[in-house]
Amino acid sequence: MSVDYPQVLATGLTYGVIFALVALGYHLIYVSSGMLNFALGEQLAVAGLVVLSLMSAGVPFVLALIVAVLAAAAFGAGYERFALRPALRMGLVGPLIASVGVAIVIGQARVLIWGPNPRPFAPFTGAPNESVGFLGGRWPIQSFWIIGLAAVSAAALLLFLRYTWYGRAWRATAQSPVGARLSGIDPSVVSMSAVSVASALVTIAGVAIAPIVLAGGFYALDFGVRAFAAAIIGGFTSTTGVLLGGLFIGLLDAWLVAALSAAWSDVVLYAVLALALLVRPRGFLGREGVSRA
Amino acid sequence: MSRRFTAVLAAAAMTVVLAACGDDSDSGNGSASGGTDPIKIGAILGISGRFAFVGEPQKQALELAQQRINADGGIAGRQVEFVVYDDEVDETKSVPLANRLISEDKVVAIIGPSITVPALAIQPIVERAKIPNMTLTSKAIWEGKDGSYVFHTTPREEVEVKSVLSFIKDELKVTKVGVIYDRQPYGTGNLAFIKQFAPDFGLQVVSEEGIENNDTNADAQVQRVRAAGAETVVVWVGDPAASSVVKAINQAGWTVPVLGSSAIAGPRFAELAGPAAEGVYSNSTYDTKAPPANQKTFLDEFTAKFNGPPTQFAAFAYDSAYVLKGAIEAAGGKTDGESIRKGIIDMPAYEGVVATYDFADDNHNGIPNGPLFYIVQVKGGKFEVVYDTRK
Repeated sequence: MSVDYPQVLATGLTYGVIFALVALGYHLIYVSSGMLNFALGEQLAVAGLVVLSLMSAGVPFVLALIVAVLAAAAFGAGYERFALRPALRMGLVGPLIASVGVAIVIGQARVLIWGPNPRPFAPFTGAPNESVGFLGGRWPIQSFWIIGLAAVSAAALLLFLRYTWYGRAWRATAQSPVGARLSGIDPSVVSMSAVSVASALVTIAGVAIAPIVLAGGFYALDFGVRAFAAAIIGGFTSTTGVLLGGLFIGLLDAWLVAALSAAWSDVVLYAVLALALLVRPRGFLGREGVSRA
Repeated sequence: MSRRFTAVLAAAAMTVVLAACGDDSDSGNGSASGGTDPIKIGAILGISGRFAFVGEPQKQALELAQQRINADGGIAGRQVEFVVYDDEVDETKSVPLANRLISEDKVVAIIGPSITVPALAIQPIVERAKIPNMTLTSKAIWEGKDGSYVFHTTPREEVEVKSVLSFIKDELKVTKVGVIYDRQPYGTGNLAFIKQFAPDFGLQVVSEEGIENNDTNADAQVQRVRAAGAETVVVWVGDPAASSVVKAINQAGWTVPVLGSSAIAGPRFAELAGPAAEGVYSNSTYDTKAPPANQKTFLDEFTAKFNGPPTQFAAFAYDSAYVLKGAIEAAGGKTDGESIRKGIIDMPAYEGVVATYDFADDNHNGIPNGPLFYIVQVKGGKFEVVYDTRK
């Protein structure tokens, strides 16, 4: 069967950078505290609806996006403090279960507030569904916004982690919570800000993808799980790894659907994931020696 | 398993058994025939959850039916009351709700569930309790069961498939059909009918591509259907996947007639798909532009009461309510299960909103098994009737 590779690239990259951003969220939280947060998919899915509501209240789009991102960051901080952290008493499985609970709460609240039906979301520029020819495929104009926004967000975050005192404190905590504490860093603040930043990231991702997939929660699980697979394959402990993992899963998914069928893509995708775990349990770029394992 | 848990489990099992016995021996339902209490009719609808777009308008339709029937003098001189429950299209909720309607609310009949799987789940309960059940699904689940208490006003899947195929043959005048179908039973069942009946209409299915109801991207499916040489694309999946499909077709710059199932024949589809929806055909129950008399009253009253036009799902519930009214009146006001069941079959043909129903022992759907629907097309963001498959 002939596969339309240029189109696989267009679709795969558009979705892949979203998976990468969400995977980056999993990664930030994991390295700073060892916790897994399964609410990120729901947080992504609710973002577009929040922005739509703000806009229908008369807030201009850019301001609505900023408000939504800040609100998500505040939510993330509270969520870490009042749901994830208290659950740590049960060990690391506690926050995991708490995050599933919070995901369900977000999902149900979303249906109560916005109803079960998805809503259209206008692209940042151009007419709905407008596309251009690029590298032999048809690219929605929104794809370029998604890729650009994701690149800027990821780059800003990486620079922040590398060059600020705060970023160094963060990485120090990831290396050794005890050592960081001895240097006067409070690991609980690092953990809280990680959840906060991750929430902001997936909110940007959710708004960016909404013009392509509609605003609504029906894809929360899909995105959450695929991004999780991306983080596992890339290596949960490696920033570069999870970003590449996201792109890889996006492209693999698009290729599987094009080459086999939608019915088989899930099966093969998870078989590849299982195989990757057998061969490289730490992911392809994950390292030994990082305290969170 | 702890001993205590086992005990709880045993107690729960006992309760279920006792409740089941209760159903059989319960003579409360409908025994008060000729009384002046209101006649209670139960309904199990998917009002919230994934299929809220089906169940919510059905709840509204029953509200309207109750108001209208009672204003017109009730059923056989008695007022009617619909007891409506939400099963969220979750069969683990539908089953206890059916038991509750029968043994606690003492309803004389049940309308719903909205979707096939919950309907199948409660079927053994209604058959055993001899409670007439107007399901709202298009699957003829009563087939092969003599004396079944299950009926439905929703046209059978075959009827809708034949409507689509007749339109492709007579109006589009093309022969190569590509199908993009929901991988859930809604799509696979209809795909089987499309393949079964296509030769009767001189059509050939050149490509069949599955999609999930919540898929956000259909580039690959569209590309393959196109490569197979399809001259028209039949999309048998609801929103939002249907909007993903037409967006992908539009984005690929492919101009091809697209036909959707009646699942998309509402304002939502054009809203979600935006400009890509323009020109898309679909099946529809209504002629909203020039409705015949049997549809006009319902359309007008519903639109006025709920600030918007009804979906076809609403009409199925509304027709079910009136069929039960006709059946009870045909039974001389008797409301026991067997009388209503016989009443449905014996009542004169009833001209409902969706069709004229004439139920028989071997046709619990009451609709002839042929084309029935209108074909509508999105023009300027709204569906308009362009063809009547009945003519």
